[in-house]
Amino acid sequence: MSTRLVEGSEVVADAMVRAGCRFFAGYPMTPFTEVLEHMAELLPPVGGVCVNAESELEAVGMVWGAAAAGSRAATGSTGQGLSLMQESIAEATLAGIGFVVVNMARGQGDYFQSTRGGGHGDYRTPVLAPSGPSEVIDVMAEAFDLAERWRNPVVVVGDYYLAHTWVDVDILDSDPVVPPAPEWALDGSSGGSGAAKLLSFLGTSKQRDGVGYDLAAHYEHCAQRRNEMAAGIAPRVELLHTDDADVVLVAYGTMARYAGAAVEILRSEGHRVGMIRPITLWPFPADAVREATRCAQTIAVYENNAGQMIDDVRLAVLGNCPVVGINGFATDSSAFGIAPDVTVEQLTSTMRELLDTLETEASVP
Amino acid sequence: MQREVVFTGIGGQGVQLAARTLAEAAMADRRRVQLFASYGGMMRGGNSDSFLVISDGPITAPPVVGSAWAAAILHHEHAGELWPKLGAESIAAVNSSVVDPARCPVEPGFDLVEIPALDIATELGSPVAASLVLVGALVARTNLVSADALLDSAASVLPSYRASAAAANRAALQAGLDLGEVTHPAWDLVAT
Repeated sequence: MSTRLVEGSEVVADAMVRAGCRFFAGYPMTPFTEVLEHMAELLPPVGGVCVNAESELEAVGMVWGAAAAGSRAATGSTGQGLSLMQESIAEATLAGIGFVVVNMARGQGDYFQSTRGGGHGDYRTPVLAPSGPSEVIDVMAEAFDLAERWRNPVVVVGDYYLAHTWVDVDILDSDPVVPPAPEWALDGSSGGSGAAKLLSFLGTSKQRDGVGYDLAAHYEHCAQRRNEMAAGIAPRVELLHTDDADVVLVAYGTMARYAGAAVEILRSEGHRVGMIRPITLWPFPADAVREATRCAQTIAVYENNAGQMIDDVRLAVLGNCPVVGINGFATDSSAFGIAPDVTVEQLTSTMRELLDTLETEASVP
Repeated sequence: MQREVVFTGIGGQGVQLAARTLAEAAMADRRRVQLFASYGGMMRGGNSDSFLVISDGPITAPPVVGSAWAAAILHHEHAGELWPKLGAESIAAVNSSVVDPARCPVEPGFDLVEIPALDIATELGSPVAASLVLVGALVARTNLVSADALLDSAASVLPSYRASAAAANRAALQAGLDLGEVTHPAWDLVAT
């Protein structure tokens, strides 16, 4: 077996193709552009199609169509592009059409956009956040499975670091298996043929009395499916030294790798510090966070934004433990979220200050 | 075991090529690698940094490492944030043809090796390959990668439209490898 040095964007693209993705459409924007470029290289040789759409609006629309026809399909952009896609993502949840949306974000300012959704209506999208290229293959396979299983868009969150970190990968010769189209997929049968199907955000069947769709029944069905999805997805986490930790860091994506390095340094200095890394951002792993922080004095949330995931952490522990934000807020001139203040040294130093404060508070009679 | 190598210089000095070359060589030695580049928008004159991790096992280090075992300093302009990453066990190869000694730590606390990389590369007729002389010299002192793997990566790292530069780049790496003996072995056993 041979190895090759590839950038994270290519790992992301390769992971999608391996997960069975055969249609991809997107519009270039840093740091997503290279994912689109690699999909354009990888898809045609396996019989797939990649389209450089005229905008993100058209990209997600094309993906909607490909997914409705039973193809494993995906689109992507940065958070800015996902803003444009929100209408389609929201409507796709009502139409029961699953596809994957890759957000190669600038920093982590899109946490709310991903986990709450920026579109209209009473919907949710599962969100997965790999911490680096080595985790992408598994996460992407899970994303496509979830999209198909729940017939719902699934968001995979990366960032500039994930896109542009190069790693050695083993070149696998095995051909990925493309699952057959689901039975509900449109196959071109037209009305009157007896085999026609309907996929619409208004419902999957019209009433026979000629008054159109039964929206109440449809929305009830969608709500039920959403609730089953929320309960049916087991959120995943990674735990590091949480068993005896007085202070537990919570971080996701690349930020968790900085947090993990800081935790190891602080441990070597004798501090009882641990880390929880949510891999699934929605449904948020509230039970795991609560369990892993049961004995903690403080929870410190480290995210590359002004504080978004911290809300979910607070909801998870419901006031049983103080939660503070120690954000690695990126203010670099590139605006790509690779600020000089996102460093192991900075985070370690912030954590030392926090630990000092806690010690001082504890020593006050 | 894991070794972190940080590279710094200004755009156009070959910082990224040097880092990629060392990464490819480490892979040929059957080690795992992770490489993150950070560079400004300018083609020349902006910062160009690279963070390479070479390991015997899976790598969990963040893209921008907090501490480094080795450094290749092509230029002093943006080196300020890298010096503190080096510790007592570290070695830094400095491009003494260019780097201002006044911009280096007075008491480094690590092994600082001065290599006139640009002068050597210029003598070879290929001043753009100075970064490869420096990497060759770093490998000569450390055995971070095997010499054969390093020399072979001169060609494998280049895109096809740059293939004509492979011979000169290989000569630059060899010139660096010829400078000195191993003083600072990176691994317990040299990769086979």
